[in-house]
Amino acid sequence: MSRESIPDLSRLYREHAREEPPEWLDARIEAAAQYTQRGVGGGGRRRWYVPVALAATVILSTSIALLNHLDRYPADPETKPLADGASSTHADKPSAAAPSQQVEQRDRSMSARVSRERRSESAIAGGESRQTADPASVARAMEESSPPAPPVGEAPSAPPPAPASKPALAASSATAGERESPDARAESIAPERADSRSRIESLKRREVLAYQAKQEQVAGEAPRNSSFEQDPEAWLQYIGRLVRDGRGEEARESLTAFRKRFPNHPVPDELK
Amino acid sequence: MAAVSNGADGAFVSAPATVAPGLDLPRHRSAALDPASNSDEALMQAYRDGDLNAFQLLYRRHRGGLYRFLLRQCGAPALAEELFQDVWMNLIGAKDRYIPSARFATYLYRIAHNRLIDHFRRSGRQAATATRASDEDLEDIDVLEADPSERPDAKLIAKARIQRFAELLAALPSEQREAFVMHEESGLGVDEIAKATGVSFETAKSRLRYAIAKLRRGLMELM
Repeated sequence: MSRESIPDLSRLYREHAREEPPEWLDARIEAAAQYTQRGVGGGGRRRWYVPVALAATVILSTSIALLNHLDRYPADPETKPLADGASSTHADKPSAAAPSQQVEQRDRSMSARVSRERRSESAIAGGESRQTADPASVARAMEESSPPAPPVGEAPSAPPPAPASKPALAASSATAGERESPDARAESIAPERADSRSRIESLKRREVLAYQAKQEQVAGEAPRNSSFEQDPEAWLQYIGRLVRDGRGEEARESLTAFRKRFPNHPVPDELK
Repeated sequence: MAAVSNGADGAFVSAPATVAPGLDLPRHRSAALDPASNSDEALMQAYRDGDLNAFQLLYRRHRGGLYRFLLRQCGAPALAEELFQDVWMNLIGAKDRYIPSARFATYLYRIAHNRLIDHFRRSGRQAATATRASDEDLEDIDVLEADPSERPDAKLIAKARIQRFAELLAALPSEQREAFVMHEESGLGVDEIAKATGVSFETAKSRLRYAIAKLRRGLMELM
């Protein structure tokens, strides 16, 4: 097929077809092309879509995980002084009463945590747990579970800074025995649902670790005041040991504190 | 409008398209203005790579031919404008995926062909007949070959021929008219028409041949 066969047709077509698109259409299309081009060359926004989306996803996931963790194991306000005290113990010269106070605070925070865990466990377990979720009963449970804090004025002025003695160790271990051991405590939180088992396991691990840490700390410090308050006989034994060791001044101070704390308790004659 | 000439072997060959006259393009230094990379494909690639001037040059080359093609196929100027805009928007949107595997004109007219099919499918009708040249339009036609020394009725005869041609073109089946207008407007060869319309080479060749035969026969009857 040759073009020469249709010379007239092409000429006639060119004579016939002379329409042009309107100028407003030209302007619109060129503007669209320019707009698209600006998006490619100018901002390069498209290049950042994937990295920004990835970063946002990572941040969101981390935030959700962190919030979930905090919601599950909220930071205990009672442990803050302990942490501060611990850091100051390591950083500065510790005061004489600091170790025992730390142990006390740790005891208290642990008890509060256990009661919280119990509360949450029972909340998971069923509807009857609503009664335990009552703030008043929870507060009562916390008071019961935490040992009574000694009045500031009545507490023995200064526990002996000497290394741990045998009665002191016995007393502290006895006190620890009065409290639930971590295993027993974890056992007491019997899982009623399968999904709470992992939480109990983690709680158990944390309790064991905390208990071990406490044992290590108690082993290196003086007898705890709270153990004396719970057991006057142990206190008297301790005073007797001070007397035998020739530490009369400390024995006198401790005896004074003992009499204030237990005014009606008989005191052996050799200590008077 | 792209000029079309016959090749040495008698096949359809397209001459390089020229910029529409009267257009004031920006004179920035860019690949679009570099004669070495002045082909449609190079311009499209330059536009894809961020050269806006390349698109402007490319658009000016093909705007008229594409518009007339769409106008012949759909028959209504308003609709042709809408389709024309859609085709160019599609081209702009798909510029990042453009691969110069064929002539740019083939690529462009394939987009137009698909858009027309989509439109006719949605509107539920076949391609409309092309616009018929009205008497008012014919008044403006300059008959280049009209020699002042010829008879006074030569101009009238030329007008009558053009009008007859327009009628014959509008009366062609849509596929044949499409092939003929593609060839006339953009200089596409038979194989390129086949690619643009999605048919075999033989089918495209038959359509073009039938279109030319019908037009010529109709004009001969006028004589």
